[in-house]
Amino acid sequence: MSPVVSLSSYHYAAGAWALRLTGQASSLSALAERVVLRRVRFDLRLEEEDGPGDVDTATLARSRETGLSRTGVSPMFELSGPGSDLADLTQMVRDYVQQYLEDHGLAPSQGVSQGPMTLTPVGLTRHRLTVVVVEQTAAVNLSLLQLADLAAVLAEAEQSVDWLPEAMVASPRQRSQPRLLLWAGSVAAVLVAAVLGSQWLGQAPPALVQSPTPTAERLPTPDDRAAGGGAQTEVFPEDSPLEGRPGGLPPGDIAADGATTAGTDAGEPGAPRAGLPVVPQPPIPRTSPIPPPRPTAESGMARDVDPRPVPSGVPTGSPSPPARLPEGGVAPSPSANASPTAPSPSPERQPPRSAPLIDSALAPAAAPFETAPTDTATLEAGGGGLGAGADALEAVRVALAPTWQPIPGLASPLRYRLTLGPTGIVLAVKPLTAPSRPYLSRGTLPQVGAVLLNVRLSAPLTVDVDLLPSGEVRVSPSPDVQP
Amino acid sequence: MERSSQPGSHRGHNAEQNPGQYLNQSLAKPSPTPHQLQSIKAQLDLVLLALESLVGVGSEAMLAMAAELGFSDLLSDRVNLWRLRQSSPLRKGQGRKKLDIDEARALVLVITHLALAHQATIRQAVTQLEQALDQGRSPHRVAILGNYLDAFANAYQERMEADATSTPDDLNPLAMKLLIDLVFYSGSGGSRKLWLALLDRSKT
Repeated sequence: MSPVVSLSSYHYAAGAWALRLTGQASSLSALAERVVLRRVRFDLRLEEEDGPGDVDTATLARSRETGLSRTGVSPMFELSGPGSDLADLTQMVRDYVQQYLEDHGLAPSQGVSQGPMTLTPVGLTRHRLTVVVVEQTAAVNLSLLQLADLAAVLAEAEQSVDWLPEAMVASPRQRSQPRLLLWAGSVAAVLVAAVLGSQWLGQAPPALVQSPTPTAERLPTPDDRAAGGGAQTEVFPEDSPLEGRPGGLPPGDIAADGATTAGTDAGEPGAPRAGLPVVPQPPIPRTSPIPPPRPTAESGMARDVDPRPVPSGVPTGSPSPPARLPEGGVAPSPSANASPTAPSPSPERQPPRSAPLIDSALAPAAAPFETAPTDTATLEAGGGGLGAGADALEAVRVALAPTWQPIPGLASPLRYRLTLGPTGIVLAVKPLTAPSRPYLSRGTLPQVGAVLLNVRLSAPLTVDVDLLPSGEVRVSPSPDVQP
Repeated sequence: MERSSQPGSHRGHNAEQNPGQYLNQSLAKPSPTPHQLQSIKAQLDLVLLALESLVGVGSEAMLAMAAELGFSDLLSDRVNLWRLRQSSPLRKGQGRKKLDIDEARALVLVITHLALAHQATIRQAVTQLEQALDQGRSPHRVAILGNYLDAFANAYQERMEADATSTPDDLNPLAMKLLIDLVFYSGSGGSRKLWLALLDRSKT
């Protein structure tokens, strides 16, 4: 399931000016009186008209890549760039016009500048707008009407749309690093979810989600081995490369082990996970039968994973499904990796969801208008109510995806049950697992009363929402209310 | 109200004789009432005067707009409106001394909505003004501008305290400045622009 980035485009016009704003609708729009966009790009054009206003054509040879461009026929002036540039332009024009209105003379007493932009009076009724970017200058002389229209179109956009400053939107690099780290740490949780998938998805959710702990991640010490392990614990050879390795077991091993390892602490999913490697590693496939268990005095629990290095000739890209049965006694399906609801433990076969999300987030900044729809993108959920169609579920998922920012150290998915009204309003939010409860008030999901953007239902809808540590959001019909 | 297309009925003769010199003299002079423009009350009255002079709106149109905007309690009738405008310190025989904040706000909104309603006329006049200034012609030679400047000067002299040293031509820069201001007030965010301008001028 490829991630969907919904871009909204807003158009404003005054006189010969046309302004287009494109960005991602923020979930803050539900709380604000105006539309809130993030990663905003703008395209401002002054079209040809009969009025006075002349362009310094010699300095308008700007490429589109650098922000400004001039086509063969029209517009006579064009400026595009990120929202921060538009904010600078808006501020500058507003200051200039206000100074103009407050002056007693026919012409403004002085110009104003904002960043690389300047606006200065030329004669009695002309105003020169200059933008300097990378040693190139674009300029246009504006008539009074053009200046007034520019101020009007910018004011109109400012009154209608808010956009988040870039500093408030995590940069792709800033976002990718925690996600990568999180992915490395969350492989364990993914495997736990795979093992317990049938329990979670087919039955009532457990009251406690078990997740691995730093205790489970450390290598067994010689004392541990001497004391004996669980029924399926193997003894490390003394010359094992993993012996003495401070980082601990590979994530995949940890995950496979985590479901039944003693010391599991599901009550602290947000606790930092010490010793996890940053780079994700695929789980080591088990190619031989599990050796006979060896009792452990410490825990009495079983280890089912061989943490030794993969022998040569063993394929590393095809992890085997967990060998142990979950406590519920429900055997995971052999095709658990292919199941749409069971997380795959293989980052090679199924890359983490965060990767395409990051790419998608970058997309509007790289090519803002090629990928943007012509108008506000709206996902219209056709089916509502119980057993709602895929469209409705997808619309809810798309609406929730921007709000879910993975929590560092979170090892297990957060699961909630949402009841939505026909307009997309959140009628109820119920945590389905104990670890999910404390995160409910941290903005992981819209609060009761919030409205999910672009969600239109024909009837109230109850869905189960899984917020995965990888950043993925999964929405499924609530099994309790299915007909 | 249809206005005469003949520019400069009784004013601007000097300008017609020597447009360039006229312009230089007019624009070189400071605004005739710099200290008076610092008053919010005076400024509001002047902007209304410019609107009256350009598009012919009268008190009835102002009251109708006030009613449309829900300010009937503040601008209930012509007497009430007249008293509000009489609070301008520029007026002859000031009959009302105070203008509270709600009344000022109501007048700002009435002005900007009237300007929006007559935006086409305002834009046409400003365009003509730009062309005239670019070409060094007297604005009085342009029909819409000549009528406006004459109407403004007449109304100003009729209603405001006269400055013994000023001539009718001295009012032209003020009239043109108010005309240009109306373009900005008639656009999006015009009320905010007018309000901020009033506040800023009242501070200086």
